This record gives sequence, C-alpha cells and structure tokens, in this order.
Amino acid sequence: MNMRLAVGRLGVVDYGVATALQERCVAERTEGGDDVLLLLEHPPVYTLGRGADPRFLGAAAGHDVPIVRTSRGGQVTYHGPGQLVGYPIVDLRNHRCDVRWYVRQLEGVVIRALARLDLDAERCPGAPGVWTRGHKVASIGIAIRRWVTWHGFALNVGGDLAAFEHITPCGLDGVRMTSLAREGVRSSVEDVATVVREEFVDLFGYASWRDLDADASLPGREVWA
Amino acid sequence: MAVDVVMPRLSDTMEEGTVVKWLKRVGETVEVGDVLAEVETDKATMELEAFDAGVLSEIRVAEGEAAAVGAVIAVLGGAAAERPAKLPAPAEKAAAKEPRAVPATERPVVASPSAQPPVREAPAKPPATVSVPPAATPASPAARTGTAAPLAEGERLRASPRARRLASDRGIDLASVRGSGPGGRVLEQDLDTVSAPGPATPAAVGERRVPLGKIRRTTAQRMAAAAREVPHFYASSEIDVEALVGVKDDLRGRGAEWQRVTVTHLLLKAVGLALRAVPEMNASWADDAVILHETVNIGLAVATDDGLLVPVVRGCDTEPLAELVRRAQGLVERVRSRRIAADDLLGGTFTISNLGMYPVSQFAAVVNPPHAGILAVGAIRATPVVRGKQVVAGQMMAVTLSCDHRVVDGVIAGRFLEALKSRLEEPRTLLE
Repeated sequence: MNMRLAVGRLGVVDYGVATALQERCVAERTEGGDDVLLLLEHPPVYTLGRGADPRFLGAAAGHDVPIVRTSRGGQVTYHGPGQLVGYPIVDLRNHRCDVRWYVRQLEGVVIRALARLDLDAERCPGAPGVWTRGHKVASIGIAIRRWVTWHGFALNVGGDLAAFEHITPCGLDGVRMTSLAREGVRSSVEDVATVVREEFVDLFGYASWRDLDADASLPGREVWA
Repeated sequence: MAVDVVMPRLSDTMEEGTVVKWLKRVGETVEVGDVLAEVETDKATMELEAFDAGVLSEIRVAEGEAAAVGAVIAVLGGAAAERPAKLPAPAEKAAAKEPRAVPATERPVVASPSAQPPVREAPAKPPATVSVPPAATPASPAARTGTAAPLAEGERLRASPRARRLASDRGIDLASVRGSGPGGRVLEQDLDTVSAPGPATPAAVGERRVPLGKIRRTTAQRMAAAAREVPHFYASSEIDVEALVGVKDDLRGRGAEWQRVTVTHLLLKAVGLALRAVPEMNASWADDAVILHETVNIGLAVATDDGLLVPVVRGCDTEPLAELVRRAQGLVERVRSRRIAADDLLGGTFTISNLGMYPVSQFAAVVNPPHAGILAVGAIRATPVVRGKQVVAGQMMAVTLSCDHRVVDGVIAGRFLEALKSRLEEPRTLLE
C-alpha cells in the first residue's frame, strides 16, 4: 500500500485548539484523507485521561495552570513549553488493528529518535511510555474512533520538570520524570521534532510525506501562527 | 430479541478492558453508529459503537470496572426489554435442537471496535417483533470495505445464538474457539472442548478458590508470555564457594553495618562485575533490536504475601559492596512493608532468583522479559571436592543461567558463567 503522511509542525498551540484540530483531522481521515502527524508544544496545562482518578492531580489542583479532562486513555499528565507533543491521526486499518501494537510503535518511534540523539531509552513492561535510566522521558495516551487514532505522545525535551512533581504522573506512584536536557542531550524541540518525524515515517512505513496544508482554514490558527 | 454488547478485542494480546464511560443510559434509545461507551486498555481509549438499533436494557459493567474480552458488558434489547419476547424463544429452541440450522433471527453481536460506518440503516421496526432477514445484518468488515479484513472480527462473530449465550455465561472468548459448524461457525458442542477462564469456574467441595491479586495476576501474565514467546536455553555451573562463605563470615564480624550481609549481596556484586566483563549479557530484547545497557541494574526476585516482586539494585558493577548491601536491604525492607515505589521496580537489566535458603540443589528460572538472562541460585551444599589431587570436604553452589536465545547464544552464556565463577571463587575481588 502506498501510504502517505501529512506532517503539521504547529509551534505552540493551546490545548483546546489542538483538540479541535485533531477532531477535524480524525473526521477527515475517516473520510479517506491521508494519515496525519501533528507536532507541537502546549502552553502549561494539566490533563486527565478519560478514566483518570482526580486524586492523582495532587497539589496541581491548587495551581494557576489549567486542568483539562480529555478523551484519551491514561491518567494525569502535564504539558508545557519544552515538551514535544505528537498527535498521530492514523487509520489503524491500514496498519494493524491492535492498540497494543500501536502503543509499542509510538514507543519505538521515540526510542529510535532518542537513540539517534545518543540517549538509550527503553520500554517498561506494564507501564506504557519511554524510560531512560529508570526515569520516564515520554508519556503516551491515545484515543481511537473507528480505528482512527488521536492524542498520542509527549516527549520532554527541556522545560519545567517541577510541574510534574505536583501530580502523580500516569497514576504510577514514585515515577520520576526526566527530560533530554536533564539527561545531557542538548537539542531544541524543533530538532527533536525533525528526528521524530523521520523515525515515524520510517517505522510506520510511509512511502512519502508532505507538509500539512498550512493555509487550510484550521481552527484557531491565529493562536499558533 | 436481546443482543449482547461485549468487551471488544482491541489488541491480539488484550485480555481485559475497562469501561471508562457509558455514553448511553439504561432505557435510552440507541441508533446504529451511536457511541455506547468508551473502553480503555493500555493507555488507549476506544469508542464502542452500536451496530444495531434498540434500547439499552441493561448495563452489566459499571464505569471504572474491568471485563474480560468477549464478556457481556451490556444488553441491547429494544422493545424486547419491556415485552417478554415471544418469537425469539422458539427460534432459540430451534437453534439449540438443530445447531446446524441457521435461524433467520441470527444476528451478530451489536458492537464492534472495527465499526466502519455501517452501510445499512437499522430496521425501523423493533427488532424483537420480527425475524430480521440475514441481509439486514451488517456484513463482515472485509465485505463492507472491500479491503483486507483488519481483524478476524467477522470470523469471531460466527456462532450460533445459543453458543454465544453459553460462551458468555461461561466467560469463554468466542475468538478462541474453533467452530465445527458450516464456515467455521461455533456451535454449542464446540464450547465443551474449551475450559472457561477463572470467574466462571466455581470451586468444588474440598477446594478453595483464591482470586488473584494484582501482583500475582501481572506475574502470571508476564511469565506465561515469557514461557510462550521467549526461546529459552539454560546453562549451569558448579561454583566452589568455600572462600565466598569465608568472606561472608569475615564481613559479619566487621561491625553493625555488615551483620546482615548475605550470599545474595555478594552475588549482586559478582554478577554485576561479570555483566561488566561480558556486556552482551547485560542486554534486552526490543523486537527489532537488542538493547545493550550501559548500567548494570540487577533485579532481585523477592517473594511477598501478595506475590513475586523484583526490586532493582542499581549500579551493581560500580558501587562498592557496602553500598549494594545498603541498597538491597532498603529495597527488600520496602517490599516487605509494602512501601515499594514504581521507581524501585524499573530499569532492571538482569535478574537473580536465589532459592539457596531451601534444600534446592539447582533450578532453572523463567526469563524476566525483556532481559536477556536470569540467574537461578541453588543452596550451598557440603560435598566432596577435588583440590589438587585430594578429595576433601568442600562447599559447592549450583547456578543456572536461563537466556533469551534471541538476545544471546551459548558462547555468551559460557563466557558469562566463566566470569561469574572466577569472581565468586576469588571473592576478595568483590571487596575492592
């Protein structure tokens, strides 16, 4: 199959705007568009997965940072500047209708990207995400509608790790988050995004990729222009 | 007639899923394509769509609760919910008597994760009052899209209504049953060859049923997966531990911090150094690659009342023995007092399982994925040994290395055991 991928490099996007954009991409994908990979950063926000236990919010509940309940799986996490967020809108029927496989693919993309940046990372059985030296560097939470995926992964490139300390990330007690910067990798979010895009295209087996139409009337474009 | 809504299979290896949200309430009308619920597994939520119209008559799995794949989580009854079904009963009886007959009321399970937009509208009439012609049932995903079927979803649904109901009652996943009917249709008798999983099997007299806690369940799943998927091989070595026992006894006389030093602590250091010497053994399987770990973090299999936990002692190749003793004692203490943190259980690169406190001369352990190896340690035995050309009383200990043959081969196992044996037999090197 000659699969193509459209890649949107969106800069900093408000969480709600990104959600609306994803909804739209999912609808278009369901109607036969190309798979899409959105790469972006969010302004500071705490998000809860659909089934998340609000207790995991911990001290974050009293802060200025907004808290959003989302439709993805998983528990609580934090997004903020310095974190590369990837939202793949992928029709799994063209790949494999297997959510575990898909989660492992996303982990694989991040692990390969980190390997190219000279950072060893690995999976932890039973705890989706990507780990390096016992600390978590990337989180995963996805949603699926008619086998089309949305939501995705969040990779800490730099940014404020202290924001994670107010919550119980992913509902796992004792998880410590880390970032590429803390592990000694000096790369910008932009550079990491390029590597992630290359590994994504390779691992998912796309024949080609193109830039997502930036002039399309995507919702709330002014926010991230 | 009432139709069951089952927990969908979202992954080949998925065993259960959690209903995170019901988007329809009991009594609410459901149209084809409506999202009934969201189910979650492995950090993924999936919208569960209705394949059939009707009225949601029963919700069997509450929000936040888990259910096995194939288990009935709700019932869609349409008008049948209020009106005692007249027509369906004979139809089902007929199906029971003549399993090979395909009743006209045959309908597929109503919801499926593969839910492409159904091509046909639902019958406008309440389903319970009429026989629905087979043509009104949604075709298999393959037939509807014209592309290769992504899941064996269509296959899975081929079962007689009675077989489907019995399977649901017995907690059997129809996908796992080979059907003997036409086109692989699962019939009632096919279910008799399948043993039902846990919940449906009541304990007989003289037995006691012990439900699995979270740790035991995880252990069971991971070990079963390891035994199924990891191509194991085993290599054993007899270690002369006369000097090692001497060193341990010496240390115990050195003051308070050394009083509880054990052979396991010395093993941590010796295995750590051996893994440093043979880094190919300090590796993990990653499906499309082998990961060589730069740090040596050894998991210690620790038995608890709740099951087996494997806390990780970090830096076994670089930290001095005293520090490893401190770390191992802290971990075991946290495990036993149930204060272990997830961080303590992560990042292992190898595992040691020591049954030396029991009269176990040697044993072979199941690899702890994705690790390349696990070392099973037997008891220290007083036994005749040959020193020089003399047979004297000595102390020996057998260790058995289980390996993932995808990651390492026998030569690596041999080199690792050679490195380990020399360090355990020259234990002064462990104190440096």
